Amino acid sequence: MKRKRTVSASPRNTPTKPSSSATITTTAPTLASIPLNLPAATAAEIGSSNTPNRPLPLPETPGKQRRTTLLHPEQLNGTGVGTGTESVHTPSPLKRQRTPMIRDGNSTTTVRFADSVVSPGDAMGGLVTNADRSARRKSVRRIVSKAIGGGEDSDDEDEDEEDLLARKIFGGDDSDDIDGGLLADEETLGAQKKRSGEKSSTSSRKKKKQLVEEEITAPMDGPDSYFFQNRKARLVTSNSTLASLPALDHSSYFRLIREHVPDHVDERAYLEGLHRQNFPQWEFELKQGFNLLLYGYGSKRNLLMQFAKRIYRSPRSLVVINGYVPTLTIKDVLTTVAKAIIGPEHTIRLGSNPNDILDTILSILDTPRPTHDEVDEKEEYTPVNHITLLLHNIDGEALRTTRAQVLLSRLSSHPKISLVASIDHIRAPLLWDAARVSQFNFLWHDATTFAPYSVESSIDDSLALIGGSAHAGGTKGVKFVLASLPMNAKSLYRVLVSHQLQGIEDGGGDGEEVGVEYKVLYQKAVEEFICSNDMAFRTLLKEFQDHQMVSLKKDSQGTDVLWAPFKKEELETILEDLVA
Amino acid sequence: MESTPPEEVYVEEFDPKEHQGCYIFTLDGEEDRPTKRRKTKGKQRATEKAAVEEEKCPFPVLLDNTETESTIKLRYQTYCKLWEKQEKRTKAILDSFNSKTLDDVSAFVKDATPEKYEGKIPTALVLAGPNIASHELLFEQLAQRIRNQDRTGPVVVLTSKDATNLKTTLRKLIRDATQQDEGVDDEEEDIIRKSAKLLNYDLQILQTWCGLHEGQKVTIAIQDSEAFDSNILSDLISLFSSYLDRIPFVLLVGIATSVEIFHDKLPKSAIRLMRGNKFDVERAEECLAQIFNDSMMSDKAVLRLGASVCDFLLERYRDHTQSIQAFVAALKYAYMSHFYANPLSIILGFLDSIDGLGDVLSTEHVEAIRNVPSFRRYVEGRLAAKEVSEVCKLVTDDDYVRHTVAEKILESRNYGIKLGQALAFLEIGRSCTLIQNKTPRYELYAKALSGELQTSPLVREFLMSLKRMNSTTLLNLFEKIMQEVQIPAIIEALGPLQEKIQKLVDEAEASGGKKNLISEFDMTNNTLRGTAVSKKVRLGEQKSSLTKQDTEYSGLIQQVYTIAESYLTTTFNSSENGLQNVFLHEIFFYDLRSPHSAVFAPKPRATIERGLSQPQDYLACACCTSTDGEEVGIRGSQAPTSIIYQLYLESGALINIYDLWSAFYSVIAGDEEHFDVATAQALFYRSLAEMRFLGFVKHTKKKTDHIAKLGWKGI
Repeated sequence: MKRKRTVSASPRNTPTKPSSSATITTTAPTLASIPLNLPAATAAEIGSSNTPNRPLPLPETPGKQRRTTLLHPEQLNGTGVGTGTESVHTPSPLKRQRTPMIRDGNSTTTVRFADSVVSPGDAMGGLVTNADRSARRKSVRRIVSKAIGGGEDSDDEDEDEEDLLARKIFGGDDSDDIDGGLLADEETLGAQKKRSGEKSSTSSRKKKKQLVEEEITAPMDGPDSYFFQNRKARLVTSNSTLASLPALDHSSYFRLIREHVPDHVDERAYLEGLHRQNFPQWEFELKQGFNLLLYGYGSKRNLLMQFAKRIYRSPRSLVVINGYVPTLTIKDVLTTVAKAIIGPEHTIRLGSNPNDILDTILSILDTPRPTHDEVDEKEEYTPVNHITLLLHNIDGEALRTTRAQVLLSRLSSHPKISLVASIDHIRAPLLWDAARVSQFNFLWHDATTFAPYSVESSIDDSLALIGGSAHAGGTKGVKFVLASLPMNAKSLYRVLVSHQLQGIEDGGGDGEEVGVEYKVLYQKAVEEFICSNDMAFRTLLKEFQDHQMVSLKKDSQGTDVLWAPFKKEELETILEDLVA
Repeated sequence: MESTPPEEVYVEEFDPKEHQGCYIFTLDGEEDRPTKRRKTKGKQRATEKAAVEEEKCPFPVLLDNTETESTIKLRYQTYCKLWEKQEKRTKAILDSFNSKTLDDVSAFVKDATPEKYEGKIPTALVLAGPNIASHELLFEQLAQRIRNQDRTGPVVVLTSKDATNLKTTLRKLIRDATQQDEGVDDEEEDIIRKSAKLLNYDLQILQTWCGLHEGQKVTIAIQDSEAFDSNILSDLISLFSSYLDRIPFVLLVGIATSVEIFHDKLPKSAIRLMRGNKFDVERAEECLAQIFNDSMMSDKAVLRLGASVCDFLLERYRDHTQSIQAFVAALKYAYMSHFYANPLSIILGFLDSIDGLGDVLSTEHVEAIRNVPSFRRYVEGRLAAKEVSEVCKLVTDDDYVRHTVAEKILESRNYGIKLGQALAFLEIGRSCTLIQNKTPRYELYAKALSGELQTSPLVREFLMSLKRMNSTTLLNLFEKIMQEVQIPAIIEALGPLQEKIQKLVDEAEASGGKKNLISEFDMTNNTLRGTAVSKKVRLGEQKSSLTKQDTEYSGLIQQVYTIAESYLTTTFNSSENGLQNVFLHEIFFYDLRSPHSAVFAPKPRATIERGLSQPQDYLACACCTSTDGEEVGIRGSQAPTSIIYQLYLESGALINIYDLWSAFYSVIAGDEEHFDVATAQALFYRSLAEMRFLGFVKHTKKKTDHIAKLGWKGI
């Protein structure tokens, strides 16, 4: 606690609270005296690498001068002692405002202090820091000039981007230097400690570290956030589970969603209107042989369907593919396309595997269409001239295979076929290699709509997230399954559940820990005349596994363990139902 | 999941097709049942025709909706006409590049026989360059050519996707080879009957087929040799080799990297079985350069790209796509957006005959012209020259503006042509000197447009070395320039000089047998002596060693130098000859970078992240934006997924769902906590499902009721 006080009152803090300089003299006289006449011990401690044996108070040494500036930049700053680092410091209010990573004044100043102490000193690290700093200085200059230049632009995106980069360099550097800050802190403190000789410096180090760490707000984006959030310490999460949440079944879920008044209705409509204004342009682009790809947050289904209505010209000229439907296969897509092209009553053998179908389609499209109106009676089919595919979620689960994408890209690269597709997954562009990309010939359009993905993603996705079991949906499904099963299957499940409940009662924990060994369960089943042989037993189990009512795992000894993946309360209700 | 699709029950306006995989779209009310074909046919044709009529002009009405229909149509026609021309030229260039390779390879295949290659497999290594996007096309064309034009036999194109193991590869190979010429069904059946006992991956089948088709070669094209498993590839090669006496194989290997890498990939035993030739597909850069020169710098080009778009396209080409097709597509897009959105682009249609232009430009057009920056600059220039009456007319008299435009556009167009010529001159000049880094014209172009070339070392370097040229290289340079660039100014000035120099050379040859005249400025020979004094001495020596012809030659080359220098410096002088001084350059140079970068180099992930973390950027709603426009952070009024996402950003790699839920609830309920818990829960589940759908989280088994974070913002 005491340490904390010194920190808050240290000169580093002065920029934010200039008045506190008065308190410095009272609470920490040693520190306060440093800038005025750097006691040799402290100075040597700090800058030993730099100036080994020289008495430091000489103001002429550049090293000293710098150090003075560093220790309390703003106290002295009116006199302009600043070196290069000074320029870094000037925009501080701006910086604090811009970089959300470091919010409070304390840490900002820590960092500032650190940056300047570390960089001029160490020769080895010098190169790197200098490089950093030059980038950083540039960014500062940029930010400053931007601020001075005022808002005279600027729809120029690139400039904005650079700006962002500049700020990132600036901000990122800050957080990188935190450790340096600690070190520097340590050194001053260590020096102080040595003189007063109170505590071991290691303990102070630890405390210090903790303290600073708490003062920093976590980085929220960029690579830093990744490393920050993947630290071992961060993996600690609370142990609360969803059990305390009331179960929500499908019907009430949909009722609630339906009754809920969505937010930003007008704004969303406006946004969609903006996209609709682009329809003529999109249509023109399609006409010119490009394919369209829409991206951005929000369901683009509705928008695309409206677009479909606009570009729809003649029957069979437009095929809609719902890529988000999990049961979709690429073969379905191709046969539907074929049907659209040659009409529903065709007698052409398409071939059995998707590749063959595609070849057939392409060759049909390639054969020149009879011109004029000479209706040749022999012709079995009337191929359409041009076909547009409207593909919701080209990144849908069903189409994620390379094969599907290859086929789609070949299909859409044909001049008589246009493709309008949408993507939602953040990594969707990874689906395509250079060859695919060039075949797709996409023009990308940002179509952020903020519309909920009511069709594309379902509540089941959420349930699957929670762990494959029907936690949130309750155990209703289990009941249905059990109701449709024969008596002996129900009995088997009863045996399993009651055994598991018994285990929980005995304090065995949860899940697989209280599972039943395969052999034990089989033995019990035989004893209760549920089944007579292993074969029948397996068949029964298979049914449960298919419905995810039973999980099977090998434990550490290699024996198979079975358990019903439900919570105690749920197990109880199931058991009640079974017995009743 | 045991749940039944529930929406059908609850959602009123349920579209039954939402969950259908794919279907043929029909408008509401229209039946999609198969109608009687005969009847609909005529009708369908009619509607289609009507549609064609109606679609004639997809361009919007510009100029505040005052553009007349005829000008819109004209704009569209101009686009079609100009792009068609450009496309034709581009295609011709592309075809010519491909055709050379095709010719070479097909010639190779034609006379490849195992005997000729000492009993080894005749192999063509096709070095196709790193742009894998073009390989498919190339091999397709190769196969077509060999199959249909040369008729040497079946061609099987194998890609690494087909070759997961030896069995499937052979199966595909045999199937493709034997089924290629259609219409010989009985024969086919024959083969099948004969080979009934054989497994379908037995090369014996192919052998039988070859027995039936005397003199046919089986060409196997391996498209992406790098991606093949090396074991499979070497097995294939040894198989081919052992069947070579019965099946005349010819192997084509596509290589994207280098022959050395291909060598390293295979065991020596396999390499030894092949003999053949290497075919360099012409360098992609050359192709790009030709297309670029044609579309930007030739006198046929009409719409040119401005510096920033150009930079963007070239950078994308160099660093990302390496694909000429992509470049052409981007070029097309430039044409498209220029004519789509710029009402003044109709002027480009009148370059050949200015006659009708005055009538077409409406008052609104003239007003638009007056608003163009280059017009303003032009007027200001007039004003500075104190031509007040003309300025008056320009500002007030519409007819005068029409007249001026008609008068000036050719001049503006010539700017591009002149620039192109100067760049050609510079490029050729540089290629004749000893300058090491050859900067292609397309690199120079953007620099020239942005005025960087004026002071660039590229020009200085060239001029310096021009001075040092000996007569042979100089004459060579003259010849090239006269051939390739038709710049009247240069040709007129240099023509006589060329003759004189030629004469000198002849003279020198006649008198002393010395063929090569040296310039006195040439110091290349005396680098041996290092010190300043000795250099001076050498200089004197050299001067004295110069013959009479040499001295004369030096005088002439000084003249050449002066001409070239004045020509280059005036053309590239940005203050006099810069783009911004060109009247109406906005019409001749398309320079909007953002449409291109948005459409060709999008940032889909960053867009989603931005939408979720700063929804106010898109929605611009009052509730989520603070008054001072600063970041607002999380608010209950935001979309639920957006709230979740922002909470997600703050959390670690593992997220406890319950904690997320409680944080979510406290945000959405605000301070008063009057939000319905069940509704919040439903929203929570929905948003979580969306997060999963977007790929931000996944289920984890590390801890109960936890999800794993998959994406970090801004990486």
